[in-house]
Amino acid sequence: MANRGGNSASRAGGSAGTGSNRTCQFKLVLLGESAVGKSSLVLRFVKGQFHEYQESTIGAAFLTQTVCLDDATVKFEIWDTAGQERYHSLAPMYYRGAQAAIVVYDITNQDSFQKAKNWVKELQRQASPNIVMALAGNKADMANKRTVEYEEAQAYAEDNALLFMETSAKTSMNVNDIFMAIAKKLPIGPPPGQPQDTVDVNQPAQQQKSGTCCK
Amino acid sequence: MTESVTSFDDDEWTNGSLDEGLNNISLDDAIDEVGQLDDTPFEDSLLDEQSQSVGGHAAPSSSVVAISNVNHLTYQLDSAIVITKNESISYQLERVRHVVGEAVSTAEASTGQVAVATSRGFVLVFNREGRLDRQISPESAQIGSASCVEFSLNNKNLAIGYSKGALKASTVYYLIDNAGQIGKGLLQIVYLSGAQALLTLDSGGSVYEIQLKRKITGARTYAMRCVFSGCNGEVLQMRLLPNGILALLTVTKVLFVSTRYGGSVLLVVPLGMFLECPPLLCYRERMIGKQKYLFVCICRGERISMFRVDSRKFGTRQKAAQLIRSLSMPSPLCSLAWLSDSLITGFDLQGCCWQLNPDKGPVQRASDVSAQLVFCSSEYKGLATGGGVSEAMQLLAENVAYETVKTGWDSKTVWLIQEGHIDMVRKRTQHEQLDLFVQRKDYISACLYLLDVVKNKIPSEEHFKHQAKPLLLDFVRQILGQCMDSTDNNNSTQKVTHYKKYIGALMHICLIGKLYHIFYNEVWSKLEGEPLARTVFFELLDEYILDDLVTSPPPQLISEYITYLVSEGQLSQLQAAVVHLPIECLDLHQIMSTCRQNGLYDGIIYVMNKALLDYISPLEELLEVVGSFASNDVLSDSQVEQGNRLLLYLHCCLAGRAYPFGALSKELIASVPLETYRCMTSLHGKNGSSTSIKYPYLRVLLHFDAQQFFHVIFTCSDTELLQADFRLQQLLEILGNLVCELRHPSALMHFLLLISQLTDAGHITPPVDMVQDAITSLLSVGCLDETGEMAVVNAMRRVHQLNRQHILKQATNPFRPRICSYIYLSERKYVDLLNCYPMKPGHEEILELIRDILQSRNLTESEQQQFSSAVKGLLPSLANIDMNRTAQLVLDYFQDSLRDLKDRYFNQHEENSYKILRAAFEIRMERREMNLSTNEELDEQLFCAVFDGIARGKEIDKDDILLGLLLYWLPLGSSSDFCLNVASEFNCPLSSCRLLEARGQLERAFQLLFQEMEKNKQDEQRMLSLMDEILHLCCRHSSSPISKQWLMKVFKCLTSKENLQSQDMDSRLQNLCIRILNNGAEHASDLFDCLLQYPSFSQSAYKEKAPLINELLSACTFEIKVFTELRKSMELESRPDIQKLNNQSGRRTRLISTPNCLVCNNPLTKSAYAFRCGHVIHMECIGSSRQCLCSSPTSSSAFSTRDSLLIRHSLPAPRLHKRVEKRDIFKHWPDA
Repeated sequence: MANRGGNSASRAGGSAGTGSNRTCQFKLVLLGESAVGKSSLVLRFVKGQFHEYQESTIGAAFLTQTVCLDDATVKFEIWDTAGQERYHSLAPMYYRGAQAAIVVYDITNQDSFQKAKNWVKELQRQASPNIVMALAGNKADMANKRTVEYEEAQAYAEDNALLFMETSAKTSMNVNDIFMAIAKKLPIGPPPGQPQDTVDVNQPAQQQKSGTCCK
Repeated sequence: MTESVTSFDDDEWTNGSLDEGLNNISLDDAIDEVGQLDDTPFEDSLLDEQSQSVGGHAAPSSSVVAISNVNHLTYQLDSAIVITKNESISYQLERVRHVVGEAVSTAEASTGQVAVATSRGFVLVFNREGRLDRQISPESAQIGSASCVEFSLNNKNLAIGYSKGALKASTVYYLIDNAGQIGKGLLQIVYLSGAQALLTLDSGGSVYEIQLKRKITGARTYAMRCVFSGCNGEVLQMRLLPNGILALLTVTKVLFVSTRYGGSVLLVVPLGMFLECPPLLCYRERMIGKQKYLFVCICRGERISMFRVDSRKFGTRQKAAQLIRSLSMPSPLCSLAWLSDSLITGFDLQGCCWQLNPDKGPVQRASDVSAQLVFCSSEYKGLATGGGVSEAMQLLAENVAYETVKTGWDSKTVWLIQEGHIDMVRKRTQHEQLDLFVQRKDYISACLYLLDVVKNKIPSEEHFKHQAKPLLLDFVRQILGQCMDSTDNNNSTQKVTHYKKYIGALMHICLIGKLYHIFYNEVWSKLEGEPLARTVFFELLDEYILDDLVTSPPPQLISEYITYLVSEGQLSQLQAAVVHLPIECLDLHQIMSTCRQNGLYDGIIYVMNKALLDYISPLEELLEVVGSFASNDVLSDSQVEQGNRLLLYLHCCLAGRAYPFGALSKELIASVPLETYRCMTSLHGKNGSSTSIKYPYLRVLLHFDAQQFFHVIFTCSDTELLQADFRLQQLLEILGNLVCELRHPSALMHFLLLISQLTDAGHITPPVDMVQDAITSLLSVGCLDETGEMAVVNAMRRVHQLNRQHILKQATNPFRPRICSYIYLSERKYVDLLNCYPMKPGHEEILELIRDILQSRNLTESEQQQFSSAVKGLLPSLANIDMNRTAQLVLDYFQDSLRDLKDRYFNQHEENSYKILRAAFEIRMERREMNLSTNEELDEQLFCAVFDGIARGKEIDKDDILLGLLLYWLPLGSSSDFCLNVASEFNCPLSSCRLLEARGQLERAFQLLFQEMEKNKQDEQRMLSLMDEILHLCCRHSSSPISKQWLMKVFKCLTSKENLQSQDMDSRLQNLCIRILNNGAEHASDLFDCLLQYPSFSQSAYKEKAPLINELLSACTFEIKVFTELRKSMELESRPDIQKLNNQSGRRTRLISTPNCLVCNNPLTKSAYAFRCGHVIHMECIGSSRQCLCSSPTSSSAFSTRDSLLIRHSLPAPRLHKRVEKRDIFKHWPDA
């Protein structure tokens, strides 16, 4: 473990389901080429940790984190997918039904940016039309080795209506911010007090979840 | 004026009398039919046919509990009966009671009107709401009390019966003074149809039909006639059933009569003999399939019987009624009602309510329902008419409540007259039951009940089922609230118990009821924050996951469940659970990392297969793992488990099945087996370059468990994969080369077996060279067990082109008996087979082989001769392998070699020869056979050989052995002096003694033993055995007087020896004493003298030797006593004869001893002389002497010598004449 950065999101998420706040649950998926730092971003966001030598993800890893907004608490169900090519076939399983996605590239690796573009295209084609997508240029702490210019990425993000931030899991730069930005952009459900009792008991839970995000 | 009568054709069912109606089925026939009803109810048939009506509210039921560890998943229903007071009617009746009297009967119309008849003859008619509509007053006080009331079937009319016999019908239009027999009260009214035809039952038990008629003039009249007379057995109650069937409940039986076909009797059901209890009947029509059946329940006292009545079978030879169920009630009933398909209810005499599920459920008391019944005793006793009822009526009058407990028109309610009020009995509704649960805050039971409703386990109405679903969600939330409220539980144990109860129920209800949303989003969300509840939750979740009941779980739940299992070390549960969880919910990284760390390959395989559709990587991984230990000599349990998992996975992949269960998709079936085959047969392992060794994976599999691997190959051999492109053939060639290279016996052996199996199945053309090489390799391996040899033999059987000579050469040294046998036998070289066999222990199969050849090989004559000759020559050698079986072989097949064996023994002193003979004698002895061959002389010689062999042998106990043989074969041994001489020569005294004894030389036999005993005085054991033998000898010859002397001699000999004082010796001496004494007391004195000299006896206390002394004395006493008794017996027996003689001698006239003449021997038909000696002689035969022949023997000259002899011989002994000595009484007198 390298360092322990601030974790405002974690602290903020402690009062889920209490008071007048609504708790909204969203499925978020991280996509990107291998070794761009997807797991490190998630680890920093969820646990505030960073490992210099993060082991390669097998398949996909699942974590949850809660962030507090002004009027709601957002609980992220984060699917950190493996970037290796062999696991590519798994990705649809995770971005299917996801309300948010972060496509990560390595600012020191031009190929990873190209790959990120491919992921964005795939999401645009296959994922939910309302999915909130963010583009994260990770490893911002290694700006001296940059091969992907900020402006280039930003332009691409704007063209495709993506949230964009350069992040650093190592220094914790913009890590919580990008998740917070996504949370703010996500549609918050009906106000509290709306009856939830008209649930068809025979309807699968997965289908029910797609209809509402708050409880 | 012509009177016109309105016709009621439909109702005139009684136009023909009952007697006429009996033509269809006679009463006796009907009773017989009932008598033939099976006593055994066939409940199953009813249940099978009407599954839609089983269950219901009647009996407490429990929901099906799928999960074994949940103890709180049952619920108890309340009683199915509800009794409610009809407040309105009761109040109004109470208010006018002083005027109208007490309620005695009720009737309900389908319009909801209720008529209540009273004891003062009033009838109050209430509407549906309970308001009094109408009051019908009695015409006069003389009409008496009302006894019954009934609405007509069209609800327009009302008939009232009175206790003095009057009937008021159509309200007031018809008033019949005597609607029954004159002087009898009315008990019941039944409308047949419409409002014009009705039946009345009077207190005499008679049934009358009344037709209400109206003339053209408007005048009302009626026709009345008796249709059933009480003198045939009083009718106590009538019930109108569907299809125009009327049930008449009489004192002894229930008659089912038709109201449509002339009143014919359709069925008769005899009643039990509970004469003080009223017969009861209720019925219900139920659908079974598409057919409507009438179910009738008949009760008398404590006995209830249920019948299924098929009205289509009335009048046919088939049974119209079938007994379904028969059961006993705890107490006698006085009312019975069938309230719903699944509920029959009844009140007993004490007012307790009982409920019964007619299909299956037990009889149960409705604990919260009881009533104070009012009985119709006065009507049935005929009190209003001055009695006059039968004794049967009187007997049951106290228990009759027909009119006071009356079923409503729709059979769903029972109107109950109690003291001062009217009640209604009905079935409890499902809403009411649910409310009771809720009132008790028993939400678990409420949920389980609703779950049964939702799952259609309980029949319920649609609207309730519709309400059940949202109610279920509400109650789940209530249970969740109760679950989280654990403030009453102070310690952790109580908390765990509390959580287990509620979480178990929540889990069951939500997962069985598929309430996933509330379960995952509310239940789980609440519980995850409480550590103890969370642990219990995961603990209980295991079985639901394994049962595949956890559908679409949230990933977070599964992730935490996996974490929980890892932290608890429940790795096996983890492995089992993973394969039941949907792949999209799994944190693959977590699962794979955990599984890899802990070697949980089931999890790895599942993830790789399901998530990545990668079937080869896990296989390669497993092969690598197993390869690391497959060559070890000893494997651990976990290693064996890994290897077996690999084989199973390989099998699944090759066969195109999912691991560990399930099926693959079509696309995968096309690709996975082929990929697996390629992987398995890859030349250099993973990626074709991981190792330089050829076929590394096949080697691993062969090393680990060649047998199981070949089994996998065999079971997949018929698959398309292996059959296509000669893959199986190629695989076998590769495997053949590998097993030959590895030279592993197990692999070689099972390879040969695989080849055999595949050849048998026709899946391959056997690769001859490969098989030859494998056999050569296998035979060149040092040790080879029976299975290995059989593998070679099986291969040779299937593959015919093998070089057998080469195999034979290898199989000869070291010797492989099964292979050699197979080759030689198949080539009919039997002698060669014999010659190649090593003649030493361990090769017993040769003996069986010889038998097999002789029995079932169909030898030619020359083969037989050669083979027999060879076997005979080898007999002594075969004896080395197994003496007994060789002897048996000789006895069975080579009897002619017995003499040869004897000669070999005597001439060449060949030890085995006599041993074979000895074994042969022993076999015969065991079989209780008395000869060895058919030649007795030969048998004697053979025995001599055996005897000689044993005697010359070095066995220590040879004398005993010989004696053992002689005991059976004595005739052979004693036929000549040979054995005796041999026994003497080789100092075998026991045998010698037995042989001497057999030759009758008892004294020599004894002397021999005695001398031997004296010789062995120092050897106590030997002496004892000899003494025993002497005792046996004496025993065998106890009748010989000399045996007593022998025993005495032995005794003296033994007692003179002072140092023989062992315990054994004492007991033997005592035995000896007893034997001596048993033969008589003549030696008792000597015996006692000897004993007194014997130290053990003389120095011992009396107490110790008292038995022996007593025995001694008693022997003497016994002998004296025997003599005395003998003398007495003789005297007793001879006394009558002596007395007879005395008597005869004292007679003056002796009886004629013969009926014929002593001289001519002709009958005494002529004059004859009778002499005092008893003889009779004709006067013409006696001559002039006039003396009997017996008194003048010398003067019988008239007879021939022969005749004289005959006569003398036949003469009876002459009577002794005591010559009376004459006394001169005056002899001593003085001369007078």
